[in-house]
Amino acid sequence: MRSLARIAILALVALMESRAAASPVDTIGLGSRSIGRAGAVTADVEDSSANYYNPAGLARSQGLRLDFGYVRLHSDLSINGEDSNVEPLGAIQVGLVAPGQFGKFRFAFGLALLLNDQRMSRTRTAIADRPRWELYDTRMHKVFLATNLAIRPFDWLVLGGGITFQAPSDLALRLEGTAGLLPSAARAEHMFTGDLKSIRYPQVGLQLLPHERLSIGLSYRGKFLLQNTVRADADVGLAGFADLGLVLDLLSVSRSHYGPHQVTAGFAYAHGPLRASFDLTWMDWSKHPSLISDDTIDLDLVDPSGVAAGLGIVIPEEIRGNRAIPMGMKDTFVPRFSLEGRVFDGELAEVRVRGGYVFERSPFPAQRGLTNFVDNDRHTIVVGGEVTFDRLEPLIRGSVDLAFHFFYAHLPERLHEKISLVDPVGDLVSRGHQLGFGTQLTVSFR
Amino acid sequence: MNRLVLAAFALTLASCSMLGRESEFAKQISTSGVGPFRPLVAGETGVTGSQILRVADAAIHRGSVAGEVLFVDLEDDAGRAIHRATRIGRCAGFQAPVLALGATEAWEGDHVREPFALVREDGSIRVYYAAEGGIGVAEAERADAPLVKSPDNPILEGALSGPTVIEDDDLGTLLYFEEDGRIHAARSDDGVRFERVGGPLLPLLVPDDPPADGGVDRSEVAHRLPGAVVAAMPTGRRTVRLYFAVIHADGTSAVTMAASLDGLEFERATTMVLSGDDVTAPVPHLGGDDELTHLTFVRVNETTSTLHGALSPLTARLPGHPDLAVGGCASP
Repeated sequence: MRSLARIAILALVALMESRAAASPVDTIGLGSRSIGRAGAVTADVEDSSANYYNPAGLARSQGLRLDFGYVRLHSDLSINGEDSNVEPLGAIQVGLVAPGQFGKFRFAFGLALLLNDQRMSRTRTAIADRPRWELYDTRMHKVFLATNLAIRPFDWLVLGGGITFQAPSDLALRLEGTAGLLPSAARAEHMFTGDLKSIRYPQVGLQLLPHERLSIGLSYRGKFLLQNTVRADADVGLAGFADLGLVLDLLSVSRSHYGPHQVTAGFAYAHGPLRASFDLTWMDWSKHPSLISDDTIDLDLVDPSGVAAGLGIVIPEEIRGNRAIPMGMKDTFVPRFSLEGRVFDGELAEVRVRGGYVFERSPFPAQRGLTNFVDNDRHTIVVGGEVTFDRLEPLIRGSVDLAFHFFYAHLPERLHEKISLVDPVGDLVSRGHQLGFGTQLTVSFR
Repeated sequence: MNRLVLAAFALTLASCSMLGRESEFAKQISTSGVGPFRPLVAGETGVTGSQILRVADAAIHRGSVAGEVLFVDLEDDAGRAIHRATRIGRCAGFQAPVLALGATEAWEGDHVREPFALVREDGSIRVYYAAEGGIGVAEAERADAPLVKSPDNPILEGALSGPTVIEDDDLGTLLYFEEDGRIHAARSDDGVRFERVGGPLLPLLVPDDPPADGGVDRSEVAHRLPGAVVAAMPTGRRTVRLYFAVIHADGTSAVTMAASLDGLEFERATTMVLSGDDVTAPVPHLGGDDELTHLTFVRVNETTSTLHGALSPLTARLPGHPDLAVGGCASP
């Protein structure tokens, strides 16, 4: 009985804990064209990646645009020199920009979807004594879906806004049965219920176009919190002892997926074949709730006749719940720079090259206490290019663009010295690299 | 041109077909020496189960590994003395031991016991041991060379047990030993002449919730047989790790540890590093570029006491472990 109780508890605890995650596009960006500019596109984005960077940009599109893309990211991240087994990400990106005219006003509808090619969503068990790369392990394995509407009331102003969908989970498990020494005496029934409820968070933006060479952008993304809830209750009897039973009630509430408020301001300046842009994003990480789940576990032995006590059956004392531990995170400012230039402008095609740099200071403090959510600063360099074929009639009345990018991120060494010399995990050193690439095919109709 | 566009489109679609596969979880990490320690398996020891030395009709009270040699406190019909055994191939276990050090001086009484082997930077070795009148030391040029007792013996007088020594550039040389069921320290400049430092290093702990009448009393009544090692964590911080046996009021014996930056102020681990209520005499040594902590320990029952090996971190594997599937450790 005691072993059964322990196994049940351990299995349930293993099931209920989940790891932090956030939107995959926060990590790798959206759309090869915008990723190739290091995401410094808030002021002048106008393809379907505007659904993430600045929805106002949708209204600048000159015609219907369809984007198909693929991105891949390999993470070579280690803790104490041991590979942390952070899985690569491969994702299909699909985007749509559908502009129209309403009276004097130009407007556009946009949609963007990032679909992981390995799994729709992922939650991995958090094991207390196994430090993990909190922002890269499962953060990227989520579906991203955003829809937006933008309007251009004046030539110098575009406005946009919309919502992004995410899905928390609400799981319930019920076990009923009888444990016995003989297999024939054992009986078990279980019922499992899972709900993936959608939540929505807003994003809005504007672009100011005071001059044909200059554009200024401002965007806001709302915070969101995915809270996973696991309820489990078990009612297990012991064969041959009619009035002896084990009753378990478990409630685990974990915050597995948090995205902070984000405000980005940027500008872009174009001069001849060159374009430079700069973005600065404020990320409200300090509001990050604890990733340690709140667990309430009630385990009782129903033993009115004292049979269990006579057999020496006791409830293990070490079964107890968790309580959240403050994360101690800090707000961050993320600067992004990019340069783009047209290097070829021929009769059939136009070629542009681009590159950029991003610095993301880690919002996580050095892990000196009981938590082991490892994260490092990240320096990212991207380079990319794009070939545009715009004389394709009669095949297409419009143009076809093929964009590509290569992505390299360096996560410099970070030391995590534990306050306690007898911490079960001990001091940690984290470091790593990430390599990625992506392509995007855009078909634009005039 | 049409072909080019189609080829680009095909490339995009083809890249979508690269399906991933599930990766393993990251390995468990423990850099503080707290463990938990995993008892070795027969394939790793080359002996029996986690036993690293098997001697018929003899009780083993403590073992200390120095490179390829084990110094062991062995008691048989001939009496109690310090023996030496050499490693079996690449195994964690050792061959039949031979006598290395016996009682020869008046202060030692009728036997010497509880050896702790310290390998020095020049490859020479010092074996600290306990005897009736205190703690002594014997030296040798190599671990397998004859031991010569120091003329300064006893280096510390009294009813003392379980000597263990660390030698560190920053901390100097510190000797830990047991006296009246508590662990004490002494400091030295040369590893031979020691001066006591302060009182007992660690308090005896009493559970928050005392047992009801007739319940099991896990109050600590003594600390026994310390074993120390200096180890660096990945950040470069070096700590003195002191493993020791905890004797409870109910008569059980468990093994835990404490750690210190200066070798004198210790922080006690809250959990036991080894499972079992019949374990004692933990002696650590480092391996695998100091990433592995080996622990020799003694398992005591009513009839005998045997010497075993354990390892941390849990996921580490020694030659001969079944997971490695590369043959036994005894083969060259």
